[in-house]
Amino acid sequence: MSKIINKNLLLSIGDATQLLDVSASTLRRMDDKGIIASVRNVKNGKRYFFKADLLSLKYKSYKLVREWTKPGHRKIEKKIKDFYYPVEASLTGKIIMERASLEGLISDEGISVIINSAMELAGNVFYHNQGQWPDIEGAFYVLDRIERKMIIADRGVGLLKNLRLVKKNLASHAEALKLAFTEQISSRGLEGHRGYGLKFIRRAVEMGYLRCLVYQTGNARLEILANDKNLYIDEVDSSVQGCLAIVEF
Amino acid sequence: MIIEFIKFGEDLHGRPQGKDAYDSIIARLGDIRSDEEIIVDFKGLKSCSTSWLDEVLTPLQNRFGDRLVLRNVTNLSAKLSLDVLRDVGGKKFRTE
Repeated sequence: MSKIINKNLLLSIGDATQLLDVSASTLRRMDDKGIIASVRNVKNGKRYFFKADLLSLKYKSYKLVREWTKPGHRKIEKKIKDFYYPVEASLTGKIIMERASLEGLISDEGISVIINSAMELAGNVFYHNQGQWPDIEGAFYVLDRIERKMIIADRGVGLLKNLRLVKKNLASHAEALKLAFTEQISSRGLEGHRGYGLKFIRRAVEMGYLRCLVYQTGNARLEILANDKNLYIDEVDSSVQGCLAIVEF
Repeated sequence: MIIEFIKFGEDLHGRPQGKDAYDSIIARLGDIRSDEEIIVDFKGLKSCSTSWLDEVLTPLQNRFGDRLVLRNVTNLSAKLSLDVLRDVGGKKFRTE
């Protein structure tokens, strides 16, 4: 297992089967298919699962986005058409329209942070992949007002390739992920200081305005928890092509 | 001179949109007196991103310095965005 900063985020396969009420073989199959991400103990080879990911498995849209962001997947299937936004304007328009569905459920202040976070993530999807989409352009987006989760994902080039444009010695997805959340950096380095969006979301989670952020790019997975200033970054077995963000509010 | 951000929309996002807003503002500031304050009013905004604010406020501050004053920064996303611009970008703006 690579270095885990907070083992409380992880569950053994036994605990995971109890949480989801499925068999161990079902869990292993989902892991092998890339539907969930796991890490392994390098000494005994045992798998461990992230609790946040296991809880997300209860939602159909989470399984769909995990499948869709797997490397090698090259088509837009009918089953994701309700979550697919091919151009930025279609996605940002949808996000602004979501406000009405949140009113009465969440405070106006909370809504402003959710909308802002969604717009920052949406902007990143299109801004950082412009002119370099590897296969399918566009974003996967869903906001579930009942479960209070928002998912935004893309099949773009991912943080590592983008940030290497301005920092050539970046060695891994995990390094790129940490950099994106901690330093002021943007793939468009020549345009001056930018790259505030992910820091905004980090700040909003740290201050407790959002419950949690899970962000994966390549094989690097980050988790930020409310009222906790740590970044929990690990390398997982299942890769994501591009970026996958899950915000809980 | 008072610039009401609400005139640009209730939700202010995106660098290109911020650049457009700045161009629109600067076109109206041609006759401003050399000692006049430029008051930017956030009243009525529903959400406001770091990138939009960066594109508007940073060049205004570069041009007018301490004559730029922010008013009614009560929206939470606007407040957090200004905090990030200050803490990450080192950009601090004068508020009323």
